[in-house]
Amino acid sequence: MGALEHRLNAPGDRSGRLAAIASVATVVYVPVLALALWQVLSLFQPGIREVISSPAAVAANLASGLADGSVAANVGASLERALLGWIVTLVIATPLAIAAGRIRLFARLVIPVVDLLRPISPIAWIPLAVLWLGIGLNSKLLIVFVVTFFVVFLNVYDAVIRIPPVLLSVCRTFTPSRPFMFLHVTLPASFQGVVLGAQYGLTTAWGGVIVAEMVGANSGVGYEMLSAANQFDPTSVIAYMVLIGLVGIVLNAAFLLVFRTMLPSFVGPGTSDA
Amino acid sequence: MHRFLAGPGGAAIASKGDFNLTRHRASASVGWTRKLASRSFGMLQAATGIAILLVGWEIVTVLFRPLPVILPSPQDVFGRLVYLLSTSETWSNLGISLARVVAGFLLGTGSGISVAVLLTRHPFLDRSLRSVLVALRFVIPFAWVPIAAYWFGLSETGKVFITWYASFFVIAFQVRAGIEAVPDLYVRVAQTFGMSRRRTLWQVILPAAWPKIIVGMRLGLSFAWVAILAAEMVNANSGIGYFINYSGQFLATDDVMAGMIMIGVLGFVTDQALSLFGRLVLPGKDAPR
Repeated sequence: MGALEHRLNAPGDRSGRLAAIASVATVVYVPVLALALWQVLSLFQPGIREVISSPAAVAANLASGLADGSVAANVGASLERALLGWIVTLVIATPLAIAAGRIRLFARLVIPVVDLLRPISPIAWIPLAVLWLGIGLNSKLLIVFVVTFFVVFLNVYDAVIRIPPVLLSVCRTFTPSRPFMFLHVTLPASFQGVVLGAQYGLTTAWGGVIVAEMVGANSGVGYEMLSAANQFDPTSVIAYMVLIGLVGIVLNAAFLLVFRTMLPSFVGPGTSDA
Repeated sequence: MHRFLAGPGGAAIASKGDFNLTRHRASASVGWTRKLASRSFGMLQAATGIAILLVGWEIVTVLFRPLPVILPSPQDVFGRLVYLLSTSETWSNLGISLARVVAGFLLGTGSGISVAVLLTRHPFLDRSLRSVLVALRFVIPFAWVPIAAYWFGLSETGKVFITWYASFFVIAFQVRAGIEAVPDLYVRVAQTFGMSRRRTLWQVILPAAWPKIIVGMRLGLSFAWVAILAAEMVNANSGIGYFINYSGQFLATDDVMAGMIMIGVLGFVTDQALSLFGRLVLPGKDAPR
């Protein structure tokens, strides 16, 4: 990645520019060929088009959805649920994980429960969430929470547990104050895990909302794409799939962008070129 | 690789295989006494977890007396669990879910490892396919459930497709990372001794990458479990996910919770079996921490 950017930015000489064009071409030609093949196949026979639709039809569908605002409404509804659930999870899971990492007695109580619940697929909670909270916003939030919790918790907990003991000892040598240690050692030293958990949690929350909406909802991307499939409309289904991918990519990129702007000096595993 | 490209599957890396909570406290255990100690520590921990959950659950049901539809008591749920496990219907649901997961997972393992090997050996292929693989990774397995329902209906092909899709990417990406992390020196030594490329792959590269391969496989398996539940809830008439969703629609909360326990046990057992397999194939190699 780094080499590619370097080459793209290299000014001037001809061979460099040619190499840049060639390297862009190697990255782009497969998707272009795939799209072309898909389009040709769908033109070839109407029977095939009913199965796989066609890139042109999907693009037209997306464009008309964008124009009449239905895409914005659905994506907006799903995004709102995902982001709210993500924030709730961060607020609950991060302090819990830090506490479990630093307070032994608390860890003895929390970790066994987390370990026990972990193998239960989060999807299995959906019917329970619907039973408890209906099909409104609250049940979506609960599902997003269950899906995202472990990702956030485990990343933060792992980072806290791996703080080199020497850092803590040095801090204890100078002050017995636990709040001081928390603010100046524990938090900064485990910060990368917190960021990583939040980053992974964001895309996980987006996925969780999609499933939640498929199983129990009457609006949102998941609901709309499932009803499109039930109405034998592959074009809309594929358009929604494209949207889901795009939103995931944008969320991930936006997280990194916001994060880098806010904390430009931070270079962690979640943000650096590795 | 840029972290951005790691995408949502990165969550996976952090969500299961790499972490073993019980191991943290007894990490550097060598020798059988310590091993035994850490194992009994694990047992103790499991017992603590079960005790905390059960006591908390019991207290809530006794104090607040919720309707059984909202929260059945532990006794009710275990009674249901015992009853359900005595019916052949439950076993066939569990069996069909397991078969779907294992089929998709085996396909995902085979294709994932092959693709990873191909990509690491042919840089041009890697550059060509990278954008497609990364983009597809963001089209999460759940997004394929409706189109698989449309394409394949209620047939098994759709379910196996979903579990394959869920496990393929994480396995391919983990194995590729594992192969790329194999020290160059190993390969050069093999070349010095005149090993063929094929022998180098089978006898040097893959064994050296094995811990990472197992991590990828365990992640892939857990992803397949998550995905099959979604697929079964949305579009199926058999399987444990179908059972849980169906019970929920009939307000049989005790059955829902019994189903969740079964899923948890099944997920745990298959994961442990895979990890055991990893240790049996190449003993003494633990996953890199």
